[in-house]
Amino acid sequence: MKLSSLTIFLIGLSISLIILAAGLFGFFGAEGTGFLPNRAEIAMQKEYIQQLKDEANKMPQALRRVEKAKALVEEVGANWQQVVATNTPPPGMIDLDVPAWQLTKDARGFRNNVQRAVNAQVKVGGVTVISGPFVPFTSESATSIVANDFNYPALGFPVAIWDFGTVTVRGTFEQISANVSGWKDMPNFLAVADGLQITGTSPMLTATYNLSMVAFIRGNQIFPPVPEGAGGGGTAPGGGGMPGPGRAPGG
Amino acid sequence: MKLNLLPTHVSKQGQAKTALIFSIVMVLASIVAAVLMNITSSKDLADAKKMAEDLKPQAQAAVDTAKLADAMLAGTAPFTVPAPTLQRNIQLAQAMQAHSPKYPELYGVVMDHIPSFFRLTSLQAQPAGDTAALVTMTGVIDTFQEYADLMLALLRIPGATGVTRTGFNVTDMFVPELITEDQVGTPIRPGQARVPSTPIDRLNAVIANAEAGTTGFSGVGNFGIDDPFLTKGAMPNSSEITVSVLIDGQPIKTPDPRASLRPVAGGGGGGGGMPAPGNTAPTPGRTPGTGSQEDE
Repeated sequence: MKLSSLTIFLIGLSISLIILAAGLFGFFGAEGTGFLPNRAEIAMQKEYIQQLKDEANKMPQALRRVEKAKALVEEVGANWQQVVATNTPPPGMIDLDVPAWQLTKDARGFRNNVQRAVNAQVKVGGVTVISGPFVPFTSESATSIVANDFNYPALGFPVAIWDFGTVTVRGTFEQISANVSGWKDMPNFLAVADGLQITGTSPMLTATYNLSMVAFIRGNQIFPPVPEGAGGGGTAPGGGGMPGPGRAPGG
Repeated sequence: MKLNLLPTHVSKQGQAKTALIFSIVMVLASIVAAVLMNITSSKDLADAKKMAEDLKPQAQAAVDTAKLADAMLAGTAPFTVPAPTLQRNIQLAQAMQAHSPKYPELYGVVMDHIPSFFRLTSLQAQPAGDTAALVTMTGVIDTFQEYADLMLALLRIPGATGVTRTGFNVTDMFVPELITEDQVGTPIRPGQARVPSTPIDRLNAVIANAEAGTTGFSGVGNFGIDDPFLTKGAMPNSSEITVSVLIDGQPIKTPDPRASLRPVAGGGGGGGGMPAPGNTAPTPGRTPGTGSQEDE
């Protein structure tokens, strides 16, 4: 059978188109073949490359940020050191890196020292104390003393907080003002006096105010919980290091 | 009728041969074109992938550097001091120390504007929002005029935006209506008996009034008691009043240590990661790794 020239041409054209289509679309399924799939992937790769370049170009910005973060951390650390130096209990007043049984005993001494400090501070200005703040006794339970009296781990670092309630003093207006303002200068602790009310007939006045106090505890370690109670005998969970703020750098 | 317009030397066999050769050339050209397209595109793709691989460490370094800053701020190892927490504690310490003198300072400002005729017996304040204080005073005044003057005096306190008052008992003399006994309308105090208009009756009324009135030290308001700390109240014909002044620009809200030290739920914004390569289009919404590196 003889084919006409048109038929031969059409057959050649069809075969050419199939080959071109295979080249364009990659019919054979192998990765990396096919002009158009490759182009599409190249476009995506270029976009990816651009993103990578954008990220890489942020290096100077990232370095600046690191520098700023470093400076901020150092500044905050220095500021905190000032607070630690003047407004936290001095080293030795309380150490949480002792077994909790020992801590129940030590905490009593700490409480007495705090009471002495409060008693000294509440007389500032020359007032007569009618009803002074009372520092509550610490827990006798070795299993709960750290949590109850030093708020650890609830607050993330050991800190003692006292809400003393109402304090009543008598004196002149100047004495009362000096007394209330004086709490800001209380050494070794952070105290805040609030809600000052003054009654009476001048010059002898009676003042009441609310008092709260905070003591950030210095130290590097907290002793692990003691195996006391019904569940005792098991391995005590680790106490571990004290997180940053309570650790009081340099403390 | 069909017309044969071909030249006579052109035969149909010649046409078929030409078509065959043309077709073969066309197929060969297609093969060459397909192969070339594949080779060039594959090479371009390989080049692009290599470039991406080369850039990856640089981008990763930038991301790691950014994360290092986050780690320093967040206090994660090896930077064990969480700066934001530390900063919060410092702010609490500063707020506590700054707060204690606020009440005495506020009262000092208020006292400077208390007129001498207003004898204070009680002074207290409470926060009114974040920036204002409501100062409440109790004291003694004598006349209705002082009651009015006191309000004006209190409004001169810097930042005072409002004053309220209560408690004054008006005892000023007033002119009564005429009645049978009093045809003149002699002024009297509230609750006082009428003064007759005839001279003899008026004399008798004055005598009776004097005999019924206070003849000695009355001892009201804790006066006469030898206790310096006892608050002296209102004297006869004086009133104990209560006034409140709303003073703007006097923030006396107390810092709450327990609430302030409570750990904040949730963390800061995460640093991102490296852009992910993909055979698909980039994921919408994907945050570039160092996208959070804006200067703070």
